[in-house]
Amino acid sequence: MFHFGFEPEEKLVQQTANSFAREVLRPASRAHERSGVPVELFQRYWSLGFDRMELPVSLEGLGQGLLAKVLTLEELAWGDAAAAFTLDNLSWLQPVLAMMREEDARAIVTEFQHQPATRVIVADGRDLSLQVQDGRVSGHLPFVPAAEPTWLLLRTTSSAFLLRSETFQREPVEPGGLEAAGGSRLRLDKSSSFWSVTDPTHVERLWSRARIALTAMFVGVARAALEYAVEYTRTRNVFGRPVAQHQGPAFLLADMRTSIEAARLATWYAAKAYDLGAGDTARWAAYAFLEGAECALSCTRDAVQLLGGHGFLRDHLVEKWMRDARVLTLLCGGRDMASEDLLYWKEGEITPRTLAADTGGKED
Amino acid sequence: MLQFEIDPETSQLLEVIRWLGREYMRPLGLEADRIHQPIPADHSFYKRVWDLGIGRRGWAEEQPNTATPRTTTRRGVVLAEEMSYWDRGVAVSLPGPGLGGPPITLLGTAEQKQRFFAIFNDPDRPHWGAFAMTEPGAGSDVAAIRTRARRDGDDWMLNGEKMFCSNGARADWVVVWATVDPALGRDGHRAFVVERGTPGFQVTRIEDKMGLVAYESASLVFENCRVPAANLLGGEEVYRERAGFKGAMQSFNATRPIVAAMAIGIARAAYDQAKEFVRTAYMQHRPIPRYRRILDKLAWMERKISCGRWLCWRAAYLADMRQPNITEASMAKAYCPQIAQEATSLAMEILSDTGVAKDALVEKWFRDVKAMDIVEGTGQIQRRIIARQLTGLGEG
Ligand SMILES: Cc1cc2nc3c(=O)[nH]c(=O)nc-3n(C[C@H](O)[C@H](O)[C@H](O)COP(=O)(O)OP(=O)(O)OC[C@H]3O[C@@H](n4cnc5c(N)ncnc54)[C@H](O)[C@@H]3O)c2cc1C
Repeated sequence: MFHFGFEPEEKLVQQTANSFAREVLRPASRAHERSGVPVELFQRYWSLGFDRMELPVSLEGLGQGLLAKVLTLEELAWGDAAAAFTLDNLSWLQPVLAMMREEDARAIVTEFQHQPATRVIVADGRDLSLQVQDGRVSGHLPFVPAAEPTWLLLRTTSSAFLLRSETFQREPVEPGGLEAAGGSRLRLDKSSSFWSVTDPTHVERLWSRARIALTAMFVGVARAALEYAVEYTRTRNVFGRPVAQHQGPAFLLADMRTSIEAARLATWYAAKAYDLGAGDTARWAAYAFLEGAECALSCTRDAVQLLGGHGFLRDHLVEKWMRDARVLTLLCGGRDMASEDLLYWKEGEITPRTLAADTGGKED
Repeated sequence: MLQFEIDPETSQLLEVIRWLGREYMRPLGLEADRIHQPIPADHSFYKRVWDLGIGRRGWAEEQPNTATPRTTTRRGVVLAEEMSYWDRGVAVSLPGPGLGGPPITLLGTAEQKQRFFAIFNDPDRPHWGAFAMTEPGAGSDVAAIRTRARRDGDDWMLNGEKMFCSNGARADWVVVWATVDPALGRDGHRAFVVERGTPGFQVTRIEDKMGLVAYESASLVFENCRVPAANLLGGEEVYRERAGFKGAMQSFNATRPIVAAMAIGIARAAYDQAKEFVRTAYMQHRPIPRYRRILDKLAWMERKISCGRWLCWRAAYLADMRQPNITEASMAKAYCPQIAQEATSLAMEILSDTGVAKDALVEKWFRDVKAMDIVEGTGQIQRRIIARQLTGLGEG
């Protein structure tokens, strides 16, 4: 029968992530926002194993599933979503490493071992009129959340390309949220790829992982906002009693709590489907992304509201989380591409785009 | 381990419900709606399900086995969703103790359980129980009920009115909540089992509902209704021990995920109907101009229905593990009816003009599902509970 318990190893990594988030990430949130995440922290993140959890043991990994990973990502993003996003890099390449030749995979892992501050960016280029010719990509990416991306995993209409920084040009961009990660705009001019994949099921798989991992961070930042708002509204008095004792704010808190639970369960389900290699993983990944984004956007916005004018000030972290959640939920094509990917139909079921196209599903 | 599978035994029961649903529940629900009359208690359908064991002791209940974790509540939410998928009104009208079951199980003495549940072993004909808390003047605020219970020799005298009592006219007995002193709030509450035919107990009206017509919701009147002391659930001691009584009341948390799952069942029915409409319209090579908008709506429905179901499952799982589930049960109950109302409404939009007719089903579900946000604690009451659990503060 269905069951909502976790394995001891899963609980252990979750606890470790919670301590790291509480003791390291949260207190340094503003410092990281101002000056980025220091290299030592990348080293620590690497040695704690968070960035290689899903890799096989033969590749220095911990051999765990995406489910264990989403449990940790929620905790880390609860501490500080911007820093968690910045620190987590090799993970995004996990499905790619599993698809490429073993020696290439090993070379990439070795690079991370020596330079843990190597950044990986996953971007959806389907909306960007990129040109692809003879396996080379040209075009312009207006924003990627990294000051110095080393690897770019780029999705185009029919493929995914893994490009190295030497093949593109970069200009700094100052983002309005997720500042810890930094930002740049990229220009690709017949950039050649290190690796690419065209098989739609493979493209779908790496996209599913990206969406599910991001969703876990949405849940984390939403939970941070809720907990902050609960504490504040319990102690701030208005009209003679705590804010939380007035029904309007209390109901808002209740709805935040419920939306977090729904998004979390959607993330767990999608991660489990991914780990099992289920054929409909892409659909559940897109659903989770949509549910999680909805949750993070509304919870962080409502948390600012519940603090009133004080919520608008940088004295509290809720304004940062609202901006972080806004940028975070735009990544990997955001909600629009997640919805767009679901607008396909095969044999009477909603079907993700590539799979529908591959098997003869039609658009209107 | 995190797992999302349904066990084989429950899957078998689901097959039985699917068959019953297709053959009987859905057609009967539509017919009741068309003639705007509850299905009569002597309808052959009830005898048929009774012969299958539905409503009788032991049906769908697992055998007590301490070696494996219990699955009662989990199975309950899965079966409730499937029943409501076919027809929530007919599901509630099925024979059995209904909402009267839990208070007898939780508060009743061994003798009372034996006596009041005995009818559910009767092989000859179906029987019903019912539950009457709500009054014309008090619903959410249960502490405000006014039906009075006064001790009179060996008996109790009940005076007052109840409303919305599901299956209240056909029930062999009704669990009636009354107060010995309205000033005491919930501490003054007592639960009595009042048997049909008791002098002074009358069914005065069948409520005229916008949906869920298949079962009757009855108005009851108690006028100097003499109830033997032996029918006070649990006897006097239960109420003196306030903690025990409160504990028993809290166990009702198991029914919230069930009602939430019922909302999911209706939403899924609407989703399937809308999908079927799109599928046939598409197959006939008449792609509808709104096609992409429609797919967007269907995707929303599938996502929300799935999330709602997992909320129910998690609340039920915690109940089976005997872990606190107050927040989880209320979250399921707050979320599911809300999204189910939107889902049925979207299904009507997808079917458009075709969906307006009462017998197109989606219009019926649009009406039926509204009640899911009202019964067993309204959406607002659930939000109060969640907020109180979160903040540790009640309303000032
Ligand atoms: C189809 C159906 C079947 C039913 N079956 C049964 C049954 O078998 N047995 C039985 O006893 N009852 C039954 N009920 C009654 C049901 O439990 C009550 O209708 C419900 O509890 C709400 O009570 P009320 O109707 O008096 O509304 P009220 O309590 O008067 O509520 C009116 C509005 O005020 C809101 N509200 C109330 N209190 C608060 C608060 N503190 N804060 C914020 N908002 C608040 C409510 O959410 C609602 O929106 C049934 C009802 C229906 C519709």
